[in-house]
Amino acid sequence: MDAAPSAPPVVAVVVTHDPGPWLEEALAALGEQDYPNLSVLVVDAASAQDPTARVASVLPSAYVRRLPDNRGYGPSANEALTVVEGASHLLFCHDDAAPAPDAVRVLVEEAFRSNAGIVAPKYVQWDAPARLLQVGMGADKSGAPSTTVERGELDQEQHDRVRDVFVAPGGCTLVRADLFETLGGFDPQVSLYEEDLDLSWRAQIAGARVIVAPSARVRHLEAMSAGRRADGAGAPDSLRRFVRPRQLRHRLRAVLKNYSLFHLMRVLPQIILLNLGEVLYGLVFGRRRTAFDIIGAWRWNLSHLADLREARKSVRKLRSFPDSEVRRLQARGSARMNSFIRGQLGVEERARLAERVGQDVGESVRALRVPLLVGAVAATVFLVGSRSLLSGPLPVVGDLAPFPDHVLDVIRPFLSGWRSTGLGSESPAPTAFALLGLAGTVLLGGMGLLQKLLVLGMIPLGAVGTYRFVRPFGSMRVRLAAMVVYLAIPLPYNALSHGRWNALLVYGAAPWLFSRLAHVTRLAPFGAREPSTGLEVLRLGLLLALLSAFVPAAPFVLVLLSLALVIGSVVAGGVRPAMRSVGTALGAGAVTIVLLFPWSLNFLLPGTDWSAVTSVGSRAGAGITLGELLRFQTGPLGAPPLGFAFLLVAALPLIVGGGWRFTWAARLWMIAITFTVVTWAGERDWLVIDMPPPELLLVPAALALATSAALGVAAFEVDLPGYTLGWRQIASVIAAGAAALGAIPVIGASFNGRWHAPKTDFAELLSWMPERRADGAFRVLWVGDPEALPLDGWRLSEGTIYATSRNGMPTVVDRWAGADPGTSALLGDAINVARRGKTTRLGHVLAPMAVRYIVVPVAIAPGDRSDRARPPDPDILPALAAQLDMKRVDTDPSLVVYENAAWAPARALLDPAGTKAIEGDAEETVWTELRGARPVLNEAESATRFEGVIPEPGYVLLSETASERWRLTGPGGTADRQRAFGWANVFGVDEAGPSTLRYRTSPVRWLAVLIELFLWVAIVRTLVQRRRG
Amino acid sequence: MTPTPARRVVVVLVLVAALLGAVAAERLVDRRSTTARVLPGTEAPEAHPTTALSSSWYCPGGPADGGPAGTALMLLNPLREKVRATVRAVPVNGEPGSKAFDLGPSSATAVVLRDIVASPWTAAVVDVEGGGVVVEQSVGTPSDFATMPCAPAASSTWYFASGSTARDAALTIGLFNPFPDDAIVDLAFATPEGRRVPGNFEGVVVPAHSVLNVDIGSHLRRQEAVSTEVRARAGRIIAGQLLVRTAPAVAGVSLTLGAPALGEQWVFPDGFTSDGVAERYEFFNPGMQEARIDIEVALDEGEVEPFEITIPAQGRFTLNPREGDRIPKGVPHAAIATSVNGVPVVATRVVESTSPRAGRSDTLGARRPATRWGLAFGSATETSDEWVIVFNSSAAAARVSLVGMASGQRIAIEGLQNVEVPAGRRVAFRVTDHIKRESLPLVVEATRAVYVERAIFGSLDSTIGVPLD
Repeated sequence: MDAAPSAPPVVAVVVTHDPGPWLEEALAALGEQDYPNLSVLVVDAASAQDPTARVASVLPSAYVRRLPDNRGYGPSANEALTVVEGASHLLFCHDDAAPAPDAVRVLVEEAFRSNAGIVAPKYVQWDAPARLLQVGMGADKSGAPSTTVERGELDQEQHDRVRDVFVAPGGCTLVRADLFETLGGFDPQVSLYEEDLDLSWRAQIAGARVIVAPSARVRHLEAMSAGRRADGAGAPDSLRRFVRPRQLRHRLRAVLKNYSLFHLMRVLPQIILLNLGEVLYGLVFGRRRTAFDIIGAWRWNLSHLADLREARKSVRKLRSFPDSEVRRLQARGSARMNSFIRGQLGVEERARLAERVGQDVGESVRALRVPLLVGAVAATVFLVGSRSLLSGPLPVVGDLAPFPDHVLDVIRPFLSGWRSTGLGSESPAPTAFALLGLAGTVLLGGMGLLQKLLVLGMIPLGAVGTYRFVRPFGSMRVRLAAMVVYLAIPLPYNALSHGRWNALLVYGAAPWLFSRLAHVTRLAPFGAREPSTGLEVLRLGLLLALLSAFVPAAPFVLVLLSLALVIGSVVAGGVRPAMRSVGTALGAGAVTIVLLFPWSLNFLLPGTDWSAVTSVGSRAGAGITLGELLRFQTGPLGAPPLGFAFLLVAALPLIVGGGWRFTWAARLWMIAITFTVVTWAGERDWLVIDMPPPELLLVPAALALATSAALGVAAFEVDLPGYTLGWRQIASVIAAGAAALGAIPVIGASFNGRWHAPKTDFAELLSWMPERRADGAFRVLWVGDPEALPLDGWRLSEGTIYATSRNGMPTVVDRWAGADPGTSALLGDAINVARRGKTTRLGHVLAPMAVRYIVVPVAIAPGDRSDRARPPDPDILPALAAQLDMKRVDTDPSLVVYENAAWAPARALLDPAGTKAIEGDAEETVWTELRGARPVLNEAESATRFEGVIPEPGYVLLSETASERWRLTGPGGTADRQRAFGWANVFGVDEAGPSTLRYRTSPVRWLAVLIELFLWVAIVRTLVQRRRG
Repeated sequence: MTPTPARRVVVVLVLVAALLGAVAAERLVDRRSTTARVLPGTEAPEAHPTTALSSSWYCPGGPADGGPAGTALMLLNPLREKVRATVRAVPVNGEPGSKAFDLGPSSATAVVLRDIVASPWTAAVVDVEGGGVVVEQSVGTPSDFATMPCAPAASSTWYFASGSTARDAALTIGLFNPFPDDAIVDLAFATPEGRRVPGNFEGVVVPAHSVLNVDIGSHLRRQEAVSTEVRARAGRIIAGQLLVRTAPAVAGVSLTLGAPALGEQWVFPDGFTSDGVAERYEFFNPGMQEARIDIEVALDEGEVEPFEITIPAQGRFTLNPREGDRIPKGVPHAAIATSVNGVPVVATRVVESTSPRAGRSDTLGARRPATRWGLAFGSATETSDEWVIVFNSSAAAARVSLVGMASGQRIAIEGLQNVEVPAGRRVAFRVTDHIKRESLPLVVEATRAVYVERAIFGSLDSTIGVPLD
């Protein structure tokens, strides 16, 4: 080529590394350019074989520079910064890109015409130039690629328009030389992949245009992504492992580096959320590699923080355009989310891999069409059915106590060692607080969102778990059948309607737990994997601990499930393998106890009331019939005859199934029967111990029936073809019809928009209560049926519990009251005294306990639905009505509320009459008048720290269980503390003024937290290490 | 491996059997049912348990303005230790007053309400630091004296089987609301002419911590016999009835605490008719079903066929046992009225006397037997003839002792110790024959559960005792 003085000098920089046979073709294409002033620099990144001879054979004029090591594409290309001088433009080429003869000319012409800094050509397939690869590229705010061109799309010049793009895709990109120098070249930390994103982004920050000139055509082999290079070759999976992590970490680096601080603060939370969703999705759907890649991207970037800071400084110096301008070319929304919704995560890579192994992507997509359709229908029904619950707050019914607004409100109670339930106690806080705090932090404090995830999210989680659980059973249809039946059984919707959060949590977790148990048995078809028993125990234990932190009855249910599996195996065969599940369940229970230490001690210490594990049974339970249990009709859904449909569906494998389909169906039916009968007997007090609520205990039965239904599909596919046409085929048709009919009630209920959950709740009825706090902090004493109370409590009598909340409705912090009421038993004693007609001055007895209101729900929620009625112990209301110091508060008929006319604030400056009485015991308060006590220390930072002005010297009553760790400090120093009424605290204040009352956390508590943290980390680490190993 | 047909059948049969077993079990088992515990005093007056933290007695009150009629309380402490009590007197108008004092062991203390608060009508709450105490109320005029137990519990319903708004009768019902909530009360009446619901007696508001004295005759005129139902729509109250007769032949006062609940059985340990003494039983059935009642009469001498009566729904019935001479004149007797069709009613015995002394007593029947009874009022003097009637309805004999409470002393009344009361019989003890004391609160102790009534014939007052256990 002769240089023509009229054309600006362009240097093509071709980076090679162990180039394949395509190198010559690519260099030849450069040699054939009609551009008059083009030089070629070949930068060889330490190829095993010196390519100089090969280059010389095709392009003798080319200059070859060999590097001592392989730094990757970008850093190698940066050699141009030192080697090239006097060029107006640099053409960065892969060694597998072959530009058309006029490509360079077109690119340069367009660069000048559009005054562009970077110009990208149109890329077409190497072997099929009529098929498009890329015509410029976009990216969303997270750097994820977005393209308007479908890979493999036929090139009919439909994209041939010069336009600005956010990314000039690498392959054969023209860059203005001065701009390249200004930018400092490619990011040296970005070895492979996404260097084009970063360069284009920075160019735009510097004020340069990035355009695509489609008239310039470049054939691109994409040898690396196609696995044709030596270091990228191998199985598609290993290739993916090579490509994907680099893409993710480099995209993240570009994001962290190139945004201004303001925009980074806006974008980063969204990216974190998106990444979290992807991680969860990956973990749930078995794409763990995806999840680990995302985590790895963050880890890599966090480990390069120092370098990142420097890079941000450099970008800041470059900035000529604000981010608001730069981002105009970014794709709106989330390209990754769009990809996720289309079920095409990683489609780019998959397509490339598919090409390599000769698969047809279209065929893969077609194979996914049915599950996608079923999933979409199921998701639509769920979303439509939950729309009101998703868009508004969850009703405060049953267990659905609202989550606090701030993450700290769950973390502080966990760390402080002071439990505010009842009259307060120094006892270990539930591990659930820590988990909620952690999750809330990850969600950037979105506690409302967290609650919805932990309530509504359990239904899809359970469905996905079922889908995965039955994977060994065979085809996609089997899995879909299991998922659909599990979703169509009315149990979770009834649980939602009655606010049974415990049951929903178990519903979500049960398939995952049962899956582990089933694998442990190694009974066909679960025998494929042979995990180490210890590892399985740890895995199951970890899962169980997560669930048990919220549902203490979970280990009991799991052990019962394993026993039912053994009973089923007695009938169906395989007792000995099934016994392994019992051992594993017990082992997992032990791991759970360890992981939930020290909270788990609550349930293990001698004298513990078993009902603390299972909760006190409702009085309403006796009314539930066996038929209702078999139909899972614990709420509004499940009425006959359609309610029985799934029994028919699940019966199919018993009559047509062969081999393991039959034996597993028998086992599953025995599990279903066992749990149904146990639930029924428990509700009638036939068993020696309390049973968990029916909605919770029926979850394994629902899962068993859903799984059995899936076995019916497996039998249909595998066994039925072996039979001649007859009754079995008819039975199959009937079962299919029954499945369709069985789903109707749930689909119908979805139109309600909230699964018949109440529209109004106790929180609404009692919304006036928090305002009363201005008179001083107070407690609300809740008494009634355990299913009607929006919090856990302690047994008062058969089917009746009592519990407290503070200053109004309870939050989730008031749940998990603990096994031993301790001092709080005084509350129950007081109620019992009234119930037995032994006082008409209950208000006076409760006054030092700061009980201002007694609330007795007579239904789960307002309204007159009979299935929600939960009348309290018949003694309670007459006893309250007989009190001379209790004033009834007008409210909805679903609640009976009394105001204590004799109450005293939780932190009160006593008058002389009160002071005189403090040395008496709890019962003597019946004759003590505390109405003269004035509220003090009314500013509450948390449940363990209060501030305020004490107006005059005197005695300050702290209505919390006596503890030396409470300390009141004021102008006069630390006040003397003594017991009041035999159980509370009173402080002698010598000097008026601003004072602080706080609870000092015990070092033992800190130690316990550290131990608990260590145990979790140790087990998780062990599992991760074993998995990697 | 496909299961053999036999194995398949066996497995399916086992599963079906398990299901059918559960279904069969369900059919055999009754559903659990729960009923409310009956709190002390919600059916009839009875003492609070001695283990109570605190207890309250509610006295619906009477005149206390210093006029010819006066209202007093008698607080009996049968325990062996002193008890602190506070009487809060609530006037029909004006501010309440209170008085606190110690009740000595084994003694009774009288409290005149006018001494605390003077008012045309004054009710009272007696708060006791503990239980075991009995409180009675009296209304006295210069010529007569009537007592009734106060109520140990409030109720939303009260029933009076007897009453009269005849020309010479003034019938007043005291509605006492000691609670911090207002009560709204409806009054309905059954007369020989049928059910009456005067508009003025509907939606009567009894404000918190107040008492109303309702003159029934003002809107229900000239009814010889009246039964009253007091029903609180909101809140709970205590209702008592004061009947003042002014006709010379039967002049006097009668005081009755309403029945807080209907019952299927009512027991009257005492009964007597003679020339000048007319006895009758008044029944009130406020329910929507007619009630069929059998009245068995246990004569001290001889036997008599039970009476069988039918009380119409929301109606009343007066049984005059003397009609047809089925009960011989001059033969004392006990009576048990039982609803044979399960429809609960309320029953009161009315005695009107013209000689030797004019007066009237309305005695609500007893609801349950007990082994210990408290009688706070009592007077055995030359002019006050006190009787204690014990009726043993059980199938075995009981032995009964009467103990007087005298300022800390427990006086075992001579001749009235360990006296046998045969099964199904009654024994009337004339206390005056054994002891003479102006004030004689009594505790009756029996080896079996019995019914106890006190009669003071100096004023023709008769009332059922208060169970202590």
